[in-house]
Amino acid sequence: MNDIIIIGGGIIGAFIAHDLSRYKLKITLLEKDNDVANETTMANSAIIHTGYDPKDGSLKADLNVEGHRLYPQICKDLEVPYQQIGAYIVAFNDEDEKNLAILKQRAIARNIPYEELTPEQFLIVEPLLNPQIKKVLSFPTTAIIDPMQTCAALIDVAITNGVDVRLNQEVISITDTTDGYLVNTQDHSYATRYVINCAGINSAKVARMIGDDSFDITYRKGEYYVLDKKASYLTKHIIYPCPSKMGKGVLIVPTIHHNILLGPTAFDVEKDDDVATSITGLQEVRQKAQKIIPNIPFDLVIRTFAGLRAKGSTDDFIIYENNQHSHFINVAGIDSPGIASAPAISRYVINNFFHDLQLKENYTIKRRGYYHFDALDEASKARLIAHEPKFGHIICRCEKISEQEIIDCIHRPLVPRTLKAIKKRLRPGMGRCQGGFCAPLIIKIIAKELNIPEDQVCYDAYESKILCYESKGDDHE
Amino acid sequence: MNKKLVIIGAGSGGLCAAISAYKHGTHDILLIEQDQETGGILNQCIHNGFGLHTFQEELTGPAFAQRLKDEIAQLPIDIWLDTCVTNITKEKMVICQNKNGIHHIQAQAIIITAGCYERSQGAIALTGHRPKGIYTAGQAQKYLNQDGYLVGKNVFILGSGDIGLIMARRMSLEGAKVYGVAEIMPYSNGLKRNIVQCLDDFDIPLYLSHTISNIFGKDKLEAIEISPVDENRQIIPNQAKRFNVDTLLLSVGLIPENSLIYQLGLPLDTKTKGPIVDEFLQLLPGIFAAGNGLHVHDLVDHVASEARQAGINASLYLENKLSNKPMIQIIPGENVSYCVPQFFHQDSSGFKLSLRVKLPMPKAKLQFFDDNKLLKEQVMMNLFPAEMVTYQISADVLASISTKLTIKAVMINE
Amino acid sequence: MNKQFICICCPKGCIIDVTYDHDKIENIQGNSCKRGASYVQDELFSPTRMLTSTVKINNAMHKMLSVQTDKPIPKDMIFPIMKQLRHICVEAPININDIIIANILDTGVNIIATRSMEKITK
Repeated sequence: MNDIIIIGGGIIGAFIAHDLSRYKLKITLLEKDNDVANETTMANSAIIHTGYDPKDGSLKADLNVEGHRLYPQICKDLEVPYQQIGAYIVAFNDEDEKNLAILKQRAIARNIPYEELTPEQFLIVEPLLNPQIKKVLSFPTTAIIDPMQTCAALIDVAITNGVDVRLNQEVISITDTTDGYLVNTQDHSYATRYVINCAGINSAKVARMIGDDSFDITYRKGEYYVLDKKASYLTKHIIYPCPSKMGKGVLIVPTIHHNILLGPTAFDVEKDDDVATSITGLQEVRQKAQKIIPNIPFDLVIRTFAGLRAKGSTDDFIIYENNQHSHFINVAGIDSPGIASAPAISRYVINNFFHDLQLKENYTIKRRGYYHFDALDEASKARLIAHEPKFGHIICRCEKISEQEIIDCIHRPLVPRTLKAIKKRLRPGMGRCQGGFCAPLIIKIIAKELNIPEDQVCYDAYESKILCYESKGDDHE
Repeated sequence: MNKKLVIIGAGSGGLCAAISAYKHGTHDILLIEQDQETGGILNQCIHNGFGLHTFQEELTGPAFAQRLKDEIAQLPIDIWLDTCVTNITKEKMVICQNKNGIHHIQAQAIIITAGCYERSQGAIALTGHRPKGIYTAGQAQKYLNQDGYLVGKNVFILGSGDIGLIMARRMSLEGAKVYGVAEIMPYSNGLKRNIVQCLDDFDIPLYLSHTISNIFGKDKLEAIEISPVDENRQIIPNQAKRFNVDTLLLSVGLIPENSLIYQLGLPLDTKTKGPIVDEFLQLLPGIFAAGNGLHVHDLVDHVASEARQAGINASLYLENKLSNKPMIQIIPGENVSYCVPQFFHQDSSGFKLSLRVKLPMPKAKLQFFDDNKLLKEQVMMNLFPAEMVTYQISADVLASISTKLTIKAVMINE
Repeated sequence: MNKQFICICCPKGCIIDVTYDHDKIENIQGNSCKRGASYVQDELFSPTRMLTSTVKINNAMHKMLSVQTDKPIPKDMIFPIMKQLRHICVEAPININDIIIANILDTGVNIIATRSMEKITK
């Protein structure tokens, strides 16, 4: 019997699992995919907004401001990257300037640092911005993180503290029992006292499993371009147009790993697996991004992607305990500023729906970060290689990632067993060649470290094997 | 550590450069290779057709590489395998790392023969899903020819470059069904022989002026759609054709491995994506580039001869015998997409020029201009964008240039 | 019967149209030289190809060893030979040009290694 089943291994489920793992509770987290952070957490702008955007009185406003405050310490404890690079919101016309004035008022009321910049001022800092921009509202404390690495780190801490994380467990039904719920996946049943539904784009489906149809989730697709690190000269700041009803618009975002992200679009789709990019979507990103920075080197594109965000029907985060089904907690509609609010959402859930929790005698809130060998000074590099020669063996040429970094990443509480899981944590294959050279080498490392045959190594999803058929041998016809 | 000459990359280019530099009197050479063996990409190109110019016979890729490996084994040249060069400086310090540590090597000359990498799905911004089952042709080639695995059995190929055509045959021979090759251009980018022996022999259709318009399957590739494109290479809607395949191979171009040049803070040629060099193949005095790391070649024979020349030039540099007179720029004019080198010294005694044309021309005049003044023209047959053109420019033409050398290719209609 | 060929003797790539009876060319058009005619003659009545492939190798750097036929083989022997190669496994060390299979399927053609591979002790 579990005390709590958490449905969903995105950043929300990960924070809740992490935060609850310090208490004397038996917790299981169920993730439908073959890795955590595999849906919205994997495909977003990775920004820790300061909280000027959400409307007054909304949960989003409170939790965004609080989440932004919490992140620096959390990232320090988890040894994951966090960087305050600041954001510019640009106004092209009078209407935009009116909107900026509203954002400014919210920033004042919420005690968020801001600055107003004239073209003379912002063009010195960001000379490539469109000179037609009339005004910039700057939020210097806006930050960027790596959501996938952060999510994996949270999960690792949760597992270290005793949380049971089960991958490839898609919840298909939930039944009431006398003392709680029975959560049924395709091949297992889990008895539990509490259910926390943080199933992201699937959260409305999960709520309906106990007959709760009080909210809907719209799948809002966002398409992005990723530019090579060589394009990092474009901007030091996150650049936004003025926000509109459909979201924050197409942004230009430096990533924590020095790429440039362009996007997202905002287009509602019918199907929960529609993460296809489109000609029209990518064209829209191009046009809108070029309006902000006219000369974008599109020959430095290394990747395009699309993700779905879970747009809730209330226009705010939807966080409540079901009143007919006690101990069934929905944490839904977590669209922007979801990543920024995630740590505060978790605390809100714990403070509001769990009482008299008892701390374990032993638990951790820290975890050792991945080695970032390439970023070390030379003396440290030499020391590491002397200690373990595999640090000297570069596997990913583009991102300069060594064999030992990959081995270290594999032997973590939640073992990344697929090419993509390693790519999400450590970035081999995220560079200009997109894994052309390193993928065959990483397959061999995974196979060796997990003691499985090479042809059992998957790309991402369950059974998505890469080396499908042996070319030679008796069984091959 | 000090070395007279450090060569970065021990593929066909690096091996040829090292052998040639040694033969021309440079005996203190270090050859650095990232992989576990020398020979580079030739090791996985098991098909034949290599070496007609170099060895006057048709060899397979591994056999071509083996000749170079055997030759260099006879020479006292240091080779470091499994070693990655992370940085070079303008002062010719080479910083590299391997299992023995971080190494600083002060060179007197450097040759960069770093090869190239394949353009990926992301780089060409294919639209649709991004499931398992999409590979560059070279990656599938490595899995098949060195590791012994097919990545799928129902295959479509985007791009009619030679690697794509070669893989169409290889996958067919190993029991896969190849449904077709789509090429966005109205002409093939591969050698005619490969069209005949890789596609026609196996009844594989070639769809010219077509590209991939959609990709289906969230986790695993389920199908692709191809559509015709108009003269501006834009997809014509509502004419898509669907193929249920588990594998999509991309043969959509190669890009010189230019990261070391980028780190040096030097500009790249916008067309070749490689460094900008003089007629000695120098990007800076004493730092040379050759092979696919300079510009992408279609024949290893061309890589070999260019790299051998770089080896000779490096030796001449070390003897202080290269010109340091002012330089004149070479401009690709009408119908010429690029020229290498991009500069030459005023007192040049002639050099081999490499260029590519922008469109297929059965017969054309190659014209050399000093500004607007025509200096020389040369009739050439069968110029194709996919086939690099080389031309030996003589000293007398070069001597009469006062401003810039512009090179044009003018079609002759008969 | 009619058939069209792209000549591969030189980069020009002539498109050659042929009319032929079962063992004789009756009419040939489009070739710019004699080599084109003899290419079509061979392609029509006795097409041959060099075959390159791989066989398994034990105790070597790679799992596969690259091999080729030492002479062109009749085109219709390609798949039968490929099938034979499936069951071959050699031991390192191997030297380039080592005969892997002599006189494969009685064609008079040998399968030879196209590279050397040293023995690796794991």
